[in-house]
Amino acid sequence: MGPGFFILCVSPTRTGTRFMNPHLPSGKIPRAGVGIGLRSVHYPHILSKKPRIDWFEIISENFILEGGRPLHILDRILEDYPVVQHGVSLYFGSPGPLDKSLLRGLKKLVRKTKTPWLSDHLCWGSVDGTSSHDLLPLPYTREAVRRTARKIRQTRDFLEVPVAVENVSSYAEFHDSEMTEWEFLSEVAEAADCGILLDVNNIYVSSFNHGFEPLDYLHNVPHGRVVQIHLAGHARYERFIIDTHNDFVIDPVWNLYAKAIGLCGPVPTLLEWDSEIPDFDTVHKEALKARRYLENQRAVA
Amino acid sequence: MKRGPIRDCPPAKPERDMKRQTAKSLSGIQNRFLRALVSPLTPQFRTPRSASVRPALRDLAPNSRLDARERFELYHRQYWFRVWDCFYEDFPGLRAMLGEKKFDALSNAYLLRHPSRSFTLRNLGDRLADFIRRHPRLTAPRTLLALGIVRVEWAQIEAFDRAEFPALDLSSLPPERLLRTKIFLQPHVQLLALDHPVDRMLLHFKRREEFRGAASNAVSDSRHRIRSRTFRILPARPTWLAVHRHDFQVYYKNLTPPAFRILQKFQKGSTLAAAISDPVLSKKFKVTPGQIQDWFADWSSLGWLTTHSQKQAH
Repeated sequence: MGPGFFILCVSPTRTGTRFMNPHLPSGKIPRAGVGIGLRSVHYPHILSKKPRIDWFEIISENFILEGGRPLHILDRILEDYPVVQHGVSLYFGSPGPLDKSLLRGLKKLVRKTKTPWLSDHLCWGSVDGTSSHDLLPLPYTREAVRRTARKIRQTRDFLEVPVAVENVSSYAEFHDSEMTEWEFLSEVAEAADCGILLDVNNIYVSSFNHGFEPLDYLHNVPHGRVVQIHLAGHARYERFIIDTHNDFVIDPVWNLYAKAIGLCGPVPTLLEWDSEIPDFDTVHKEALKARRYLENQRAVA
Repeated sequence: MKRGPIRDCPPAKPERDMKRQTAKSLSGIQNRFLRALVSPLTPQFRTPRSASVRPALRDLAPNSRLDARERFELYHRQYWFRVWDCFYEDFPGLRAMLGEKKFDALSNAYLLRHPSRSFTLRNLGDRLADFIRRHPRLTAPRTLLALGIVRVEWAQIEAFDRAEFPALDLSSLPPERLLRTKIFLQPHVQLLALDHPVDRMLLHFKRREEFRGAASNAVSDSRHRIRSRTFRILPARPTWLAVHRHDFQVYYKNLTPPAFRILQKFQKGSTLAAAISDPVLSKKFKVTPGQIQDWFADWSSLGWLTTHSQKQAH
């Protein structure tokens, strides 16, 4: 690996029976809707061509600003499209309290976007206010379950919007872990009574990096809590996979996706493309592949 | 839902003891990991075999393909590439003026002293000007110029996304009320008193880079090497500058010293009457009422003035 590669893990998930039925909004985001992550290189195309797309997902932190072009663009996007907020900085698993300035910024943004739910990652990333700006994996311990669940509930209560947590792709594991990643995700979602944003690509990436069977993961999460699915491309090296979001979704990940919607139902699905981003039509076309899977799944159901 | 068994379940302990110990252990792991993460890489961009990372590595499990150090290194390198990229993007002019080697030494020293304390990388360089003031040897012999460039490049970031309130509407205020109304400068307008014409140097640099970019198609990569000779250094000359936003674009505007002085008063909040009654304006700068009227009209047309204070932006 050269000094130029870079990791990116920016995405959300969906929920289970108890969470999903009462909380998943009706109407705004179609149940089997397919969305794209909103990225600045596509602004001119979206604003001028107004492509038909079910919804956009934004990275909340990019819009927690006082003013300027990003907020102006967001206002214009909101005139035409539903928007779901996805974050990268809440760090539910970090020690210490939640970042109050971030929460205040998110609350203001939630009021603007009217996001039906807000997602962030099941990870940690800061200690005593020093931030890694990365989505770091947690040791899968009961203490970590209690801490993350408590902070997810605090976030939901403060923002007054349903919260979903996303499984991250990871490259390291801790000796102290007491359970598998999917057990950890399930425990947290149950304890917090929150949704899950299931990133199918992240399951694939982590399964390679840690040597587990991705289907074990898929079969053992609370399907009724999955409110959203993420798809993305990645970069494969000889000994590990990096979650780069810089390419098309590979076939094994599409196959996992087909199995995921078979288990979770036709969940809103979003394609992330964050690096080496091609033109809008290429990204849109890739995202629309998900629609074929969703339609097949509906036909089977 | 089908669940697998919990692995390595610890033996039963009194609840309170177990809670205290596990909490200490989780936070301890995270403290060790973060301390190692923000520690420097080797010159070959590798995780060093030093005491700064060893405690964190002991917490990590190897797998059949990677040992603990290699697994940690994926995060370690990513941390540094991310913050370096952010610095390259935010301070391209400083990098070009100092040259690659000096800029890297400055960035590393700064980032080790001031790792990000914000949820957003936007604020990563917010203490760089202060850091340069306190560590002048890192930018010697051009510390004053380096400081000027950092201040302008940071002002660009502020001008890009700081608040803009409804502009002062001159037509809605009768002259006598206008004189008594407390006026503020829009938060996106940044005022800078500089020792060098940094604005001209940065504009020249930007044009050269755009030309190079169009010719080589290399400008999209913020890590591409900037040749310091593309940065033309102009002789020192006192410069009063406003960096501001108009139609979502950031611009520079040169100011005269008295105009700068009046705008500074509006920045703190002042009535027009108080701002223009400053005796320095007439005695030192010989400013005429006509000049003030012209400036005021200019600032109003740019939307720089408002009746909202900066505090409201927060």
